[in-house]
Amino acid sequence: MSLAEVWGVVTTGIAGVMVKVEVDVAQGLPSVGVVGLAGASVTEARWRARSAIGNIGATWPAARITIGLSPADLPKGGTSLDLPIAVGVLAATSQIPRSSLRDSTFIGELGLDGSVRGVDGALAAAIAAHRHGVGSVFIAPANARQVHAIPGLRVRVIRDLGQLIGILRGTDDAPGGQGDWSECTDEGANLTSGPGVSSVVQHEADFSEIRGHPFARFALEVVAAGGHHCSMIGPPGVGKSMLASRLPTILPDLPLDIALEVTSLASLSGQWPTERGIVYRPLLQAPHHSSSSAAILGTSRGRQVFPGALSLAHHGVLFLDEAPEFSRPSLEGLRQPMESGVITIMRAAASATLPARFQLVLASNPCPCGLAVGRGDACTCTAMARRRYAERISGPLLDRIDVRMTVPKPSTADLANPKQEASAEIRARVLEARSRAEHRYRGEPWSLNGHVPGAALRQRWRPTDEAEALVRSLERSAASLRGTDRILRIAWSVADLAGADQPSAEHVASAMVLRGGHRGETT
Amino acid sequence: MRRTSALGQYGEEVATRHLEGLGIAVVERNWRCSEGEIDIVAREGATLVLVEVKTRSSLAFGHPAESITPRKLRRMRHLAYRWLAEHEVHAPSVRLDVISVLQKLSGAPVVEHLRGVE
Repeated sequence: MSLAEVWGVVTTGIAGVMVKVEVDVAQGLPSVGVVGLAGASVTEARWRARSAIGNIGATWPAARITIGLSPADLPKGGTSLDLPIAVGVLAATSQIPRSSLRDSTFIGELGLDGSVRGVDGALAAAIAAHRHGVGSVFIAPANARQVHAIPGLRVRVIRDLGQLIGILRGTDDAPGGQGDWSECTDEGANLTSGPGVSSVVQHEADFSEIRGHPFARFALEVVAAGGHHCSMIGPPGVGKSMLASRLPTILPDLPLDIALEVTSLASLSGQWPTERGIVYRPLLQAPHHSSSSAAILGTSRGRQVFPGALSLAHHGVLFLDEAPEFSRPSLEGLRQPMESGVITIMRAAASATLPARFQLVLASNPCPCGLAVGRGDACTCTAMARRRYAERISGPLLDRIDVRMTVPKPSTADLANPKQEASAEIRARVLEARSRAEHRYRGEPWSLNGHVPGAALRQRWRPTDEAEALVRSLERSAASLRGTDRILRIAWSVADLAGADQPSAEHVASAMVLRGGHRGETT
Repeated sequence: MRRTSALGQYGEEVATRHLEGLGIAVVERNWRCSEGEIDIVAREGATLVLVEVKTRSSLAFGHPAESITPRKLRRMRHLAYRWLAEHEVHAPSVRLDVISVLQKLSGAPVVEHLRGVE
C-alpha cells in the first residue's frame, strides 16, 4: 500500500548511530513485524506505538505492517525508536504529510497514552543526528535541557504524539509555546547559566569544610593546576577521602565540547539523569576496591560498549581509595590510558576507543594495619607484610604519578582553626595558573604541566639558573632522569600558581617535597 | 448466540455479493467437515479461493480481520486440502482470502477484502 521512511537514532553505549526506520503498510491480515536485529525493547515498540496512536485519536491501520530498521546488521536496543516507528506508521497511512519528515530526526519513548518520554542516550543520539546533518531533532521535554546545549542544532520539544501530529501537519496550535524552533547556540556558549544547565541544588563538597591539612591543601592545589596524578598515604581516618573528593571542586568548568562528551557518557551509563542537564563540572568517580577491572576500564558485550569508571572520569577525577586493595589488572590497566588519554576496548566482536583523560588520585594506608606513621611505633605489621602491601602498586604505575604526598594526622592546633579557604577561591588561583601554562604551551598538543613530555620539558622551557643548578645536583646524587622530569613538571605548576615566569630554586624545592617518595626512594 | 450467527450469516451474504461483483464465481458456501467449516469456496480463473468471512457490528473489540490468528490460518490451509481431496477439483493454485464485514447499527456495510493472507 505505502511506504514511509523516518530517521531515528540508537545508542551503542558511547555514541549514537543513525537508523533509518522504514514502515511498509501493505494489504493483508493485520500484523506488525519488526525486522533488522531489533532487541526486545525495540520489538515492543510496536505495541507502545499502536496504543499511543489509538489513544490520541489517530488510526492504527488494520493492515500488514512491516517495520524495517537499517542498517539491518546492527543490533538495536533501547526505546528511542518508539517515536520514529509511530511517526512512520502515521506517515505511511498519510495521516501526516510525508514531506514533513524530510530533514528531521525523532528521538523518544512513547507512553501508551501518547506522551513522549525521555531516553537516557538522547544527548549522544542528538549529537549523532547533528553530525549526520539533519536539520532538526524532535525530543521529549525530559531531554530538552541536555539537547538544547548542542550548538547550532534545531531542537523541537514535544510533549505528546498528538502535538507532534499537529506540528507535522502544520496546524500546530499547542499551548505553552514549548514547541518553538530554537537556535541554542547562544545558550550553549554560556554553560554556567542558561536553560541548558542543571540548576539542581545539591550539597556540594567544599574545601572550606576541611580543617587542618595545610600541606595537603597546597598539594591538591598544585595537582589541580598542573593536571598531575597524585597519591596520598596516610593513616585511616585522617581525611584522605574527604580531600580527594574535593579535588573536582577546584578544577575549572568543562568546556562545551568536553561537557557534551562527558554528559553523553555519564547519561548513557545511567549515572546522570537526563533531567539534570549538562555535566559542566568535572565528575568524581570513586569505584570501590572490589570493583572488577571491567567496571573500571570498561568492557563490551557484542557491539554494545560499556564505559568504565576511568572513562566516566574523563576530564574529572578517578579516585581509588584503598588503592593497594584493587585488583592488579585494574591498576595496571590504568597505565596506558594515563599516557594516551584514551582507552581502547577490544573484544572479538568489536573494538571501541573511549576517552579517558582522567586525573588519578590514589589513597592508601601506610601499611595493612594503618599505623606505620611517623616513627611507626604502634604498627604491628611485619616488615614482610608492609613490603607486600606497598608492592601491590607497581613501580610503572607509581612512576606515572607526579605528586606523592603523605597526609599526616592533623594537629590539635590545626583542628582548632575553623576558618578555611573555600573551593571557589582556590579554583580562581588554579584557573589563573592554568591559563599561564596554556599561554606558555600555545601551539602544542598539551596545555597542562602534567602532560608535557620529558624531553620537551628539559629542552624548551628552563627554570632559573639557580633552580637549574639545584636540579642538576639532584640528578647527580640520587634521582633518575624521569624523577627529575617529574620534579620539574611539579615545579612549573608551583611557579604558575605563584605567578612566576620560571620556576625558582624555591619552587623546585617545593616540588621535591611534593614529589615525596613513599617507598624509601629519594624521588 | 442467535444474534451473532444471524450477523454472521448476513456477513457471508454480503461477502458473496461482493465476490460476485468482482466476477469471482462462488462454488460452495458453508462447507463443513469433521474438522471445521469453510465459509465460502470460490474460483477466480484457475485459482481456488477459500474465504473466511468475519463480521462485526462495531470496532469495540478490534478490527474484524484482527481475529484471524496464525493458528486459524493453519487450520484454513488444512481445510483447503480436505476440500480439494473430497472434491477432486484440479486447482493449480490455492489462495486464502479474508473478507471483513463491518455492519454498524445504521448505514451500509463496510467490506474489506484481503487477498492471499498467508
